Amino acid sequence: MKSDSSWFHRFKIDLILIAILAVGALAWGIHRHPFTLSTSDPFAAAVMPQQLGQSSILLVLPDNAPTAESFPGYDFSFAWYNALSQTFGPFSIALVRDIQSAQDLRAQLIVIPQKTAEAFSESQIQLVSQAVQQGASLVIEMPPPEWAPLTGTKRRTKGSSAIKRLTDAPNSPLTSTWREQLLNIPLDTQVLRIDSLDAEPLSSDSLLLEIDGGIAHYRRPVGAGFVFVLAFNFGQAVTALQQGRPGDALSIETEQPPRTSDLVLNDKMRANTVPYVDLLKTHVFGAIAQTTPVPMLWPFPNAQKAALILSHSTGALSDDAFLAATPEIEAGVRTSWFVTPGRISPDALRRAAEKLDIGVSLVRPPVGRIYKKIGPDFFQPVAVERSMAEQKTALSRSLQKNITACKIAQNAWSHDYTAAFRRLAAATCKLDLSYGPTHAQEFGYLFGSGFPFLPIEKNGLPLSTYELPTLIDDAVGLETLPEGAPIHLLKDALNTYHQPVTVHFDADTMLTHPSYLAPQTYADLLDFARTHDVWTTSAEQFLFYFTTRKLARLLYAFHPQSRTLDVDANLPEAPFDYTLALPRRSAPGTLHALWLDKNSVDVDALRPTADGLFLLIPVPPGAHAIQAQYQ
Amino acid sequence: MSRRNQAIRDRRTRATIWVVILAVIALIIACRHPFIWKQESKIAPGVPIGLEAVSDFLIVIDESTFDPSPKSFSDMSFSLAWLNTFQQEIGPTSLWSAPRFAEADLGSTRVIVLTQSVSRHDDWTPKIRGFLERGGVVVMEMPQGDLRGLASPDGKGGLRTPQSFTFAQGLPQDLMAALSDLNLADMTQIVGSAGPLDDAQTWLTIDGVPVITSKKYGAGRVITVDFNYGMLLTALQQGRPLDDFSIRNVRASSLIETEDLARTGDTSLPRADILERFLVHGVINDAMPVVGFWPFFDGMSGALIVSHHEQGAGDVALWMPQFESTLKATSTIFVNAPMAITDDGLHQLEKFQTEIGHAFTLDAPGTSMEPLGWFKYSPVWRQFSLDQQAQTMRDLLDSNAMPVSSQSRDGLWSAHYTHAFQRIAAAGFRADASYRAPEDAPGYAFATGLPFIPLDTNGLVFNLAEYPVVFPKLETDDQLQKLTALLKDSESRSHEAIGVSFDALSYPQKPDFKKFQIWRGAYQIATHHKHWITSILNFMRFSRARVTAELKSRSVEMRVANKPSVILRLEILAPEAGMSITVPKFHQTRAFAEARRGVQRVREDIVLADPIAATPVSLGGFDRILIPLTRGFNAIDVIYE
Repeated sequence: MKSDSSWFHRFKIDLILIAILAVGALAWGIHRHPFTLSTSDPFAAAVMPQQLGQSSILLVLPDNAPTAESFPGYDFSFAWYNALSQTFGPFSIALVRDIQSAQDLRAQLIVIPQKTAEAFSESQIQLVSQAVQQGASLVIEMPPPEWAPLTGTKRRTKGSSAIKRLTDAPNSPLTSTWREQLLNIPLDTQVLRIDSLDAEPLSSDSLLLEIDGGIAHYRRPVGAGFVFVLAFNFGQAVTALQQGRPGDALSIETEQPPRTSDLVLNDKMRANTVPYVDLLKTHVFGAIAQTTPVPMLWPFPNAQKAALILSHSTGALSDDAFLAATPEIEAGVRTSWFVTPGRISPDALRRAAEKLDIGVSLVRPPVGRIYKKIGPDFFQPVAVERSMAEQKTALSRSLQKNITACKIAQNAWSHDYTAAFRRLAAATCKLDLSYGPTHAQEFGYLFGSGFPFLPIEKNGLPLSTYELPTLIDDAVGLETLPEGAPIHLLKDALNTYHQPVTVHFDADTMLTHPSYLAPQTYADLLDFARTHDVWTTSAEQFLFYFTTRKLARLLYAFHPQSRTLDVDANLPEAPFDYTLALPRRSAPGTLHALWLDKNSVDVDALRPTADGLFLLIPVPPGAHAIQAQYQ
Repeated sequence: MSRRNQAIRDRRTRATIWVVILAVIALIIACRHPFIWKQESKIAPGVPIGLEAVSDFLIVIDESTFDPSPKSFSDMSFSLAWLNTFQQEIGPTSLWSAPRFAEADLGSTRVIVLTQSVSRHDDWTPKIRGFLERGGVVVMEMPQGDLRGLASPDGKGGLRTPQSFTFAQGLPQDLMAALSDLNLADMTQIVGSAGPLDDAQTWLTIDGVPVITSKKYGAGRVITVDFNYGMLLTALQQGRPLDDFSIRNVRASSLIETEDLARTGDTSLPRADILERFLVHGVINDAMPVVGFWPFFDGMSGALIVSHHEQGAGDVALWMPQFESTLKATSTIFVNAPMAITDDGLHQLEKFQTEIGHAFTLDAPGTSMEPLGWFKYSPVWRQFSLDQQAQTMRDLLDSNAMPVSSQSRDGLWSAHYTHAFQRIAAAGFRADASYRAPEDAPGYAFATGLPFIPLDTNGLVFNLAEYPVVFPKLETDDQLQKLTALLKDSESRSHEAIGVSFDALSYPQKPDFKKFQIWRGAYQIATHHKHWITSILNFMRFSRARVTAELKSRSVEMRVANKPSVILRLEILAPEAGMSITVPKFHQTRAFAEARRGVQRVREDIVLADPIAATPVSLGGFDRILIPLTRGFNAIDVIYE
């Protein structure tokens, strides 16, 4: 021991220096490769949304719904909420328990989804019957036998999920081409088998849709009003297409980590140029407008017929990524840019935010992790993983502005059907663009529509994050798509389907999937939009219009004797003109004359929709009285 | 153990510990800043050349007069530079050495070019005289002795240092102005004479001194070129080094670039080509109708020779060839060694018909290296020589994809005039595109856009062609405007190959959409101006077909359709499809009427075959007629009325 002690004593200075060197090297190593702490994402709960606007359209929702254990067990009532938002804009909502008197049903159009219909009492059904007798229209989904006085069915009917396909649409308001496309719609729904009506036979113009040769959708006059019966679960059909179809246990069963396109209902939807959800909606709501004129706030401002929603991710590039925005900035167009926190300097971010809408590109496993280093700049031994919420907060802080739009990098998703939505909602993302193509050859309406929707949680309530599906994503390799597919999609959106077309181009695509088609497609789309009056905008701007129009008041009444439609509109302040859409033709006649605030409007000068069902009228924000004469 | 011994042992232990620690630190530092071990490249000096072509044109040289180790640039022999002129403007050209010429029969030759290297061959005077008397044309470069005595000015003024061109007969004014701008002081020498030559026509003067004259001799014509034409052409195209063959950096940088060799000043016109076309289609064509192969495929107005930099990025760089394939265009992609392109990428390039070239580095540190040691951590890295770089590429490529084209990365060059060419030739490349205009002043920095054969200092040629890059970068509106102007001029008059180089990584790394628009716009504009968008390899194949083709012409006078006419009878072998020839628009005061295949005489008149669709073109200001050929043998009669 004495010898050791003297050895340490003799080399004390050397050992101290070596220890300092070792500690320095260790500290340097730890600084370079800090200890990492993982973090999990919080979840948000789905809640009943508040009524935003006011309308003569009333959606009645169930008071509550049990949490579903399987997809067919879902309450799909909020699919109607989405459909009405997308089609009409403002509408009123009420819970079953709120329907206590005739006063509670003062609406021109009453929509009752399946679960709601099942929850109605005899007295409430009577109230609905009175409203219809007095001239209201009723849309009812898979009504139980108690609704027989209104629906005409008495027989006990059976539910079935073994759907083959739509077989005919004899009196559909759709054009012949659209009808053929409608019959090709992939269906995942349940059907109320109605072989015939007990009350009276269907008139020749009453049957609207057949499924497997059976009655699926029909119209029935009751008193002064009409009843539209859907003998299939419209909500389920729409949700399975729009939000995607998980396994029956509500999980996404894939060997690889799931991506959003793993949720598509049917393989043929992976390269799909037809917005089936919107065809189905147009069929259902067009049939109402065909019977009685119903106004709607068109989903595009300034009487435009389509939107090109441009989104980008900065990807692996740093500040140079925003060079790709030059054509948009020069064209005076605001577009969406999804930024990975920490990659872009705060200065560049602030400069970009003056002309672009900045969103957050959320990086989570299995794609990657983003860490926040803890400690002073010269020594940061610990790094804490950032959750989605923290990534969004960090970027908002750099930007000194609240960020509303999110996109999960590489469209990575959770195995659980709604877990990713709950995380996004917890991160207070108002809008998400993760739904879209993720594999080669995928493009178009994978989710049946270009419109945003609120995802439905297992308890049947909507989560607060709007999902805006992306139709074209250059990360899949545009050379794997049919030649000219993106531009054809936009042309069809303008001239046929009137859709928002969301396209995504990564700023670093030319490094990850280099193809001249990426910049060329981008240029072609931008050029087409500019020269054909397509609203070119960001996802945030589109959502702003989409949700602001929901805040409007749109009351209407049709007077059969005078064949006059009176519309009382109060449109919120906004930097654009709203678009009011009125049926061009309806059972009472053709739109003959129109007055906006008592000023006559030339009907012939109005822009019609591609299907010829509606005329588009630009209306500035504020209170307006509109009168339409049919003859 | 004594205290002293223990102290000694402690010192040793301490020293050992610290030496080990320092060694580890030194090793870490060395691995981060390794020593670069440069490998010497193989060299291949210039080699003799002889060509036996079926052609109207013959160039004669005498290699025995070439100084193998000249002391200065002006001491070099430039006689072989004449080959560039005739292969470029005509195509098939014979090149004979002095012994071959002395013994040969000149019966099938119409034009003989006696270069400066044979200017003292008095013994050939009778042979030349006989050739002239039979109607031949002789071009003599700075002739001496008896040869000068045939029909040239006296040359008594001796050698002079010139300043500038002062007159060119028949050359459009703006082209003359472009030639006048050249400072000829270091680029050539002229021969002065005591007085004008009787009955001679002066075609070109320098400082007022006639330097190209033409005089009838017998039935033939003697054209005297009294300046060092080869030297001027070489100085313009290959560049002018300092007298000791070193290259001076003119850009305040430590690295030599090819642009340091350029001496033309204004780069908007191809001055070497103006001079060459003046000589061939102006001066010689006046003595006899010159027929030459058109330099571009399918009779197009010019060519856009496209190349790309791969810059070690691998498959990321393939998006440009992908686009070109949609236009049915091709290009050359210059790839770094070791090659980062995957097998899949190579398969794509094969599908796009893109040529793979080699982007080499001569001496630049940090490129084309491999570690000598453990994985990528080594204190010593070996830098590949040029031939090793080429070999590493060839090892990875199929035999049919062997790179034949090379390009120096960033235009970096050797400090000596021809050392880089010696290495490129030794590495087995047949085309090189290292010569490039400055990025901030694109254009014809080397007085041409067409390829030329470089000369070694020993006066002999390298077995490769240099393809100058006119636009080393094309990313701004100004550059695109300049390209548009050059393409327009090329379509109407200058008919050039315009080398354009695109950086395939520039847009992906900095996605400024303007760059993409300009890149795409270049193809649209080139197509609009009828330019062939192609690779170096394709252009080289077509040029080789021109040179190996056969072309003989003779003029006869006869009546066609009862009109007195002159017929230029042509016998041509076109080895490739898409070849064309040009003939003069005027011949012996008669104008071009038509061209027909295989005119045949029947009794007093002749039977006419179907006419060929001919197109008038201007080549450097000289009116000519473009006639398409079919692949194989073509007998064509060109009728002047």
